[in-house]
Amino acid sequence: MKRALVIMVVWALFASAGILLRNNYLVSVATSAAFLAVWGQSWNVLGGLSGNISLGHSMFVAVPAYVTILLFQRADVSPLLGALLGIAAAVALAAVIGAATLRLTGPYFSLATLAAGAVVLSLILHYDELTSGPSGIPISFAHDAPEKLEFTNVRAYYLIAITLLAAVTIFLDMIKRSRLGYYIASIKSSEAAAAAAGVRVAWVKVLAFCLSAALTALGGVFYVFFIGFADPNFLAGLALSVKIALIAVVGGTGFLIGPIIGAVFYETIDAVANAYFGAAGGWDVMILGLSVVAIVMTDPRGLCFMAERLWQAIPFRPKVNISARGV
Amino acid sequence: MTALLALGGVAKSFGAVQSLVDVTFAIEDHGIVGLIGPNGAGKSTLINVLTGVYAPNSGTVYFAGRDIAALSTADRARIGLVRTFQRPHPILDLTCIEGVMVGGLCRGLSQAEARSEAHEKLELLGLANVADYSPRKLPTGHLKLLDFLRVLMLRPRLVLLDELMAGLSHNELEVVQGVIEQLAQTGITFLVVEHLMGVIRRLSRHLVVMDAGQIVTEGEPTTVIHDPRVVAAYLGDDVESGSGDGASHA
Repeated sequence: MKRALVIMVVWALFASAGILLRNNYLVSVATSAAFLAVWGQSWNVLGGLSGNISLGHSMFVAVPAYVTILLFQRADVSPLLGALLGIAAAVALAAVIGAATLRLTGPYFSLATLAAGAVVLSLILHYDELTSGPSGIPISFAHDAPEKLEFTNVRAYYLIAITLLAAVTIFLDMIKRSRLGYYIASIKSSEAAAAAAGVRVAWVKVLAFCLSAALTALGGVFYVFFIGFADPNFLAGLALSVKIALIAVVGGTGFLIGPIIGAVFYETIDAVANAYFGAAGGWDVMILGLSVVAIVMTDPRGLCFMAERLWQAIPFRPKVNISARGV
Repeated sequence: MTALLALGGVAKSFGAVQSLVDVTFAIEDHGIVGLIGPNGAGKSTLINVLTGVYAPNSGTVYFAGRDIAALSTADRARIGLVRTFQRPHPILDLTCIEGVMVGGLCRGLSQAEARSEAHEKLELLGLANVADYSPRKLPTGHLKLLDFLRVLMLRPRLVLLDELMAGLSHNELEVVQGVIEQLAQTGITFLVVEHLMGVIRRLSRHLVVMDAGQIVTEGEPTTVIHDPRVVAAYLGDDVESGSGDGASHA
């Protein structure tokens, strides 16, 4: 519970900072970072805890986002109800893919999820009568309408994003300490040993996949209203899937704050590179790529582990346990 | 009395290699049964078939009077048929005690119950001092004992020990053998697969010998060990040219 309290205090600090900050651009960069961190955290339920690296997680962003928007625009279903249906759709998708890829581990599982993500993108592009295909779906509004998730001030989305982030982080911490968390951890080390101890491996893996999808979807439905445009190549694209996995790994999967650090790192470099060089030259991608290579070469376990090592190298450090690692 | 475990004509092959040719034997309730045989005799394959890791090509496996062919490894463990591995399988992201708790959680205990029972078990093997450490830096012997404790948490009826004792220190060996004897008294049955003949001699009241995927002989240990067929299995039919691979351990 101590951790939950710390998380809430940090949340309050960031909330006030966001409200006081006058620069809209910075707030929207922070909002993007927070959504990315939510997805990284959600990805961690599967990737970090069970060691199954998914490279198709953007489908759990795209599917609920499209379900919510389409129900809203075509059938006048409230986005709040639509969001629930969208999340349910993401979970159903995860259950099907999970059940089909159960026996796969390591790179084979990653390839399977990558292929599944590509199929979802193709379907969205192909059924353009329903989804508007590659041109995407704009969400336009001029007034605040909370029940439709429509806010004219970007700070509303910022608050939503950091609230989701705090909630997902607390939830992840709870999972780690739960019965399910122990089962997932045992599967990560050895599926054979987990089964030998009575863990129903297949069931636990599918459950972890579905949980991960549900949390990712939760971020997805709010994100698309923040951006105000459903762009299939972004929402369902491979780039987003890789980004989600990347920030979690770069941050450090063993740490509760790993994906948050990873997301802030990513968005900061992205924003700075765009500001100095402009997005057109591809400098942002190059700088990011080089930083990731540098991090992985220094310590493949990620930024949090590097910070921990640096901290332990200080000779007269105060005796504070900075490790947020949930063993 | 029906046997706790009964195998009838179990066969398993991998491509052209027939690991188990025709294995038929039974283990009675209570006691410690030894299983020996030279490398490649099929002992580990047998354990994998018994625990549902491999499906046999033919034959039947009955546990406590029930055909368990359709049960998964986890479900077999939950009804009391458990195993340990030759190489340790630590749960790296959990502390030692949490790794042991997993077996108890699968038995349906709450976390608090599992933790206190796991603590008792760790104390039994003198491992209470590492309870809250990560298993990452522990020696192999400790890790094997943690694996053993994890499955004991399921309150098993039959424990298949696949070379549990190889690689343990002298002290650990003494403690574990004592614990196994003590548990056998309480009604848990053990099938002990070992190359360490000292362990086999001390623990087993009944000894089964495998070679080339078949049961060669079984019976009272001292008689069995001196059986000419067993000597032949270990040293080869022609003692002069035998490889002696298993014999070096024996």
